[in-house]
Amino acid sequence: MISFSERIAIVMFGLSFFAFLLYLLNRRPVIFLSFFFIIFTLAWRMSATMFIDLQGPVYSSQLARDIGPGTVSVIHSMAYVVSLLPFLYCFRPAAVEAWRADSQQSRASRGEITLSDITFVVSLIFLSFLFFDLVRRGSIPLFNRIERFDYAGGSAHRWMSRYENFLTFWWGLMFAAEFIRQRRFDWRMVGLLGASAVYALLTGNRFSAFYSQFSFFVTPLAAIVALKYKSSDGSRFSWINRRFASRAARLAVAGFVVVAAGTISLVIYNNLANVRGYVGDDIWRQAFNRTLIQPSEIGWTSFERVFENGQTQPSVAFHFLFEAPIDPARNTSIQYLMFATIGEPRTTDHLTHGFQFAGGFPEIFFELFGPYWAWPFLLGMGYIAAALTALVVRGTLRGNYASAFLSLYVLYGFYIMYIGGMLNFATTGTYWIKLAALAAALFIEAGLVRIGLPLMPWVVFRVPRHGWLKRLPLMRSGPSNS
Amino acid sequence: MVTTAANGPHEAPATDRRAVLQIVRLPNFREHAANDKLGGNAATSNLLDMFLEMPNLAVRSKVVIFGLLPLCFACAILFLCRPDPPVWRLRTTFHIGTSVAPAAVIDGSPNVRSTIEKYSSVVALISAPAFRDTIAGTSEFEAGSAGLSKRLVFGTLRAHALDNNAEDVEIDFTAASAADCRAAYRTIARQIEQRHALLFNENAQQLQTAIDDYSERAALLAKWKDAEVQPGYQASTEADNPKRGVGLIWNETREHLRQLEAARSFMTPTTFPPAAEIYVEGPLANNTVRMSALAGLAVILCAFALGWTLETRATRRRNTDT
Repeated sequence: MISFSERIAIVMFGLSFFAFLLYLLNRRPVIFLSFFFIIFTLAWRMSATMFIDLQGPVYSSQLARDIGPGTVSVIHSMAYVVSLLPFLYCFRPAAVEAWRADSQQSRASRGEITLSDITFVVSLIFLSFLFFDLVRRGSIPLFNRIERFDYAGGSAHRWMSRYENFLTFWWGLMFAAEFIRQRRFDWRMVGLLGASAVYALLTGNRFSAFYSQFSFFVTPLAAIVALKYKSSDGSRFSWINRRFASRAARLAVAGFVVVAAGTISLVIYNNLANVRGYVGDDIWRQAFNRTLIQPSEIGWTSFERVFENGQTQPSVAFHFLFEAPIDPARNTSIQYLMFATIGEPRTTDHLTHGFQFAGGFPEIFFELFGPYWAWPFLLGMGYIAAALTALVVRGTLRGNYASAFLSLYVLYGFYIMYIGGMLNFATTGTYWIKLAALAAALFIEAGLVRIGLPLMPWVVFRVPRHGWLKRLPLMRSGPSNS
Repeated sequence: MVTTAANGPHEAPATDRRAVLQIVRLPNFREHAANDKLGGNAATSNLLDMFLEMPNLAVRSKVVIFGLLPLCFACAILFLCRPDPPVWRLRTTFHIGTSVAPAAVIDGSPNVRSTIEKYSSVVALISAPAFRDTIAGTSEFEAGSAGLSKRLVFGTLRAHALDNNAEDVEIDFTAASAADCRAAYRTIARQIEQRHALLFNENAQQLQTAIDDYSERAALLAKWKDAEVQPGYQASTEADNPKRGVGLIWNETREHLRQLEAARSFMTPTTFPPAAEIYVEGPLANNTVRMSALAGLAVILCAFALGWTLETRATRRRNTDT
């Protein structure tokens, strides 16, 4: 059991992390939105860790043992703050001001087809085919009680499952670009996001698909916040208060939150009760385990090994992660953590069935570098992630869409690291190709800006004054203003 | 020349009215001006704002908050995170015994020897909650530390095979004292040795059966062979002779018998190093959480200092440029 003073420490460090997030939301919304995907995960995991620390011993069905109590929250909250700290430097007010001053606000004239128009048309065709293919195949997972990973679908479905995050990011990027350049909300992109969410719902997804789609969509929207609101302005949460000043806007947001929460709850219930066949209290127990135990159970056992029992084996961890993992094509960090927790045969068995535990960050750093040397590495990784996120926001503001997208593509490796502890993403050749592509894009954009040309033009082509294209509804009808 | 906010509000040598107005409209201008009026240090405020942006506070307040926060957390780490009781850690490797497959010996297969039990099964057995529970429950721990040792042994006992070596398995666990580590180790050794002794005896029995079988066969063949060499013996036809090549078969049988008897020497039981010879690491003072958290706090402060330094140099460079 832990002492009363340790309970105070857990509460204090856990709450200080949430206070830090509140500070980001209040004063640094650009950071909060641009890194929302990870911030949400860290907040969730912090809650789960605090629960295990304070409520333990609690039974973990996956580990087949009791876990907790402990003081993991102290270490993990600091690790999260260390990871987020570089964002304060990369997104310092002076830097954001500089990006804002350089923001690309040239509008498209009447009759010009923009990148967002093209995006909308291509996406609409793709989504139409996706829904058509779903109906044509005859089995809709939501209604036919099929698990999402058991539904094979067609090639379009597989493509969507693999790249939906990047797709929704691109829609968000176009939404932000329309706002920055044309000063209007591009509801078409919101509609595409909604259609994509409906597709995820129909194909049996529970929570993660909606969360990741929404998070990737809002990532580039941080550029709008950077453009519109200055953190030194006004009172608490001024950027939220001003954006949702009207009663109608607040009601709309509240309605959206209620509908989203209700839908997700229903979908989770449907999955547990009708697809997986749990009954009675088991449904609640499963949801409870998934929410408050499973996100941090691996982190807790790792803490027990490294901090409480001194069972660190950095050389074994390194050898396993980078030289002889069970499955080198997948996240080797979680493989190691599973291997160290539940043993090799069960790990292999789980992996061959395509199943792995949640968690991995920051525990893999402590396993690999020990309880002291992990800190500088956490800070270093946080700095790289912050710099890449800054490139995304800067690229969105400046109209450098190629580098903004490629930055996210490179940043995605770090996202996986923060979600699942994966470190071997950097050992694959394709990752370095992505990095080279980003470097090339940044270099070319810097060269082209001197002659006033973009690498990825906002106006793709101009429609002739007369002809059938002119009569299409997607043609913009606003005033000519170049 | 129109500067951006990155250049700061004080450095721009604005030459026209428009540029001056733009600078005045910059977001932090009023704040910096207010700080200057207060006699505060605008640069310090700017640097503090880089990390903790609190525009409504005076510079002095920011400095106090900035200093108090780490101090508060350092005190919390020192006084709230009490060190856990010390623990002892035992790590050792045991050798899985070797069994012999009689059929493989007779077939002349190169894979005559194998482990009594597959290493993966052994690792799985030790990792299984039921086994860990048995060890934690049946080990003779010291009275004072039994509670903690039971929890530690159940929670930390793990095993894994060593690379390219299917015969050695490493076990690793922690207990509340060195004596408890050895007690748990003896129980593990006893459990595994008993299990493997059964498998070993079973294998020895199989081998003995095969040896007996071939001995009988060899004796029978020897009789037939003796009959073949009796004077006056003559087969009606070559095809009717059931004892054709008896000598050859007899030789083969004797060879198999020899190989089976020789294979008996390959069989080895599972062995654990004697408990008295095992080094138990400890006491491992469990101050790690406290020290690691302090190290983390130091890294946070270093990051602040580094950002501060970088921003100061950048500001100086900009000032020099303008």
